[in-house]
Amino acid sequence: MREQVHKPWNLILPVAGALSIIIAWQFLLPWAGVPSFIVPTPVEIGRIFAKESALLWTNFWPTVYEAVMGFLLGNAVAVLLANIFVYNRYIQAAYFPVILFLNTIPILALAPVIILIFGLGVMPKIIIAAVICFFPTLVNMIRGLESVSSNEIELFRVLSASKLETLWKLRLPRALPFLFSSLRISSATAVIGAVVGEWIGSDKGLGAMIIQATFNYQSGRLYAAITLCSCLAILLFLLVVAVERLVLRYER
Amino acid sequence: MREDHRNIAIEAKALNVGYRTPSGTPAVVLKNFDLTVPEGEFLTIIGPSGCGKSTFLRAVADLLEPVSGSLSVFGGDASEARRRRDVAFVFQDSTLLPWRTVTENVSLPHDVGGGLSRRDDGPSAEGLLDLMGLKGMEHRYPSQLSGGQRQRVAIARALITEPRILLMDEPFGALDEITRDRLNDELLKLWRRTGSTILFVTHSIMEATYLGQRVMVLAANPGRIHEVHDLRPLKSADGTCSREDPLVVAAMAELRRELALC
Repeated sequence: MREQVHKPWNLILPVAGALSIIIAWQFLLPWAGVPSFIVPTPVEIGRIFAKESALLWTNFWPTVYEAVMGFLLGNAVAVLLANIFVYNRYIQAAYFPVILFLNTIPILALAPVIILIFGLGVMPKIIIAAVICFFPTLVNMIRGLESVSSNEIELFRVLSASKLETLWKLRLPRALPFLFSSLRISSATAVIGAVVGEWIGSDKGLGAMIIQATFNYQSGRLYAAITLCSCLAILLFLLVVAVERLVLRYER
Repeated sequence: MREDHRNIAIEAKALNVGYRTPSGTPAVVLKNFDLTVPEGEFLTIIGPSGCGKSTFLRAVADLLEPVSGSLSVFGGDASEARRRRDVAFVFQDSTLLPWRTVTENVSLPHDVGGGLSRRDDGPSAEGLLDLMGLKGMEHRYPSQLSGGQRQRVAIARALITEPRILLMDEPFGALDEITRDRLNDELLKLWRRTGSTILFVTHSIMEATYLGQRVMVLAANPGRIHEVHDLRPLKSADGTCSREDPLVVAAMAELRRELALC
């Protein structure tokens, strides 16, 4: 077995690793002659954050809104549908393959269709983010709801528990760890969905900013927008982890 | 208590129990089962794998329906007895819900089934945990307990509805021998205290002999009753015996010989 990394090194090492790359980026790229309109240095990106903070913030909030709403919508529909599928096998047999097929359509191919249907407002971005979150949660949630043991089902039957009680007090709590593992994933994919939606038809949001900055060779602004996208995904991820720790206290 | 005055807890006549295979043909696991269990008896059930020990318990608990023949529990259907909360089941793996604390696990029967059988003068979760030697563990989660403690919690959960029949499917099968012996003694005490009928499935000849007033030996393929032994002559008035008593040792040897033939 490989050696484990122990405290405080498990914190110091990743920070040192990231710093080493940022420093190399700062000094090696200019030295190699890469112009700053192609790849700006970290210091230049930092300067953009200071200089254009108002512009960045105005474009940050629409993306936050779309990603969070898409995350909530996509996961809520997935949880609901998973319950219906587990409750009724026939509905699952009829519709799960259809969903499986729809999931094979790349989101980039689907996005124009959604924009066509829902127009250029906030709604299509929310829907695209929701579609990305939906599938992993559906699959995980079905697995979670079905992860009850036969003894647990028998226990509830001996206690004359109703189907609804078995759902509330057995299947749903059993499914929660599965749900949270897919929520962690969709916290990042929701941001992807929102940004992709903004690429295709929007004049605000980080995605729109990325497209405009690219075409105008404003690479500092482009990199700042990318950094904000990543920060948003990390923020959502940490939020999910915090809620998970609160809800799944018994696991630790 | 005189024998002829005792109520009949479980009565099986020409009972066949099985399940439907995926192709739809019924597979019989228990064949031609005739058995009468008086109320208050401690009956242990032993037999080779696949003899239908657990199947019989599941039929009594209304988890499996008889294919033919009759099975009555306190004179009625097994399903009526289940709805009255007359029966409780203890599984080999404790089947505690990991997201519930010990106390919440014990009171699960009050939280489902429309709170059936909940009475103000019924036992409290705290009282039962005290009885099972789990004082101070009330707020722990199952993952923080040992195997023996988990099984004690499972028994406390079964007792909270004050069942007249306790069905135990190898409840101590996964425990070490020392813990198992201790829990056997506690179970006997509990049985004397509550006077409930206990059906106890085990793989251990020692356990079957030590606990049971009668031992039912099952044979496999198909599952059927091979022999029912009355062990009461070996036991003192309170239903206990010594594991070293030569008569008990001899009874165990006989059971072992018999099981080799099943």
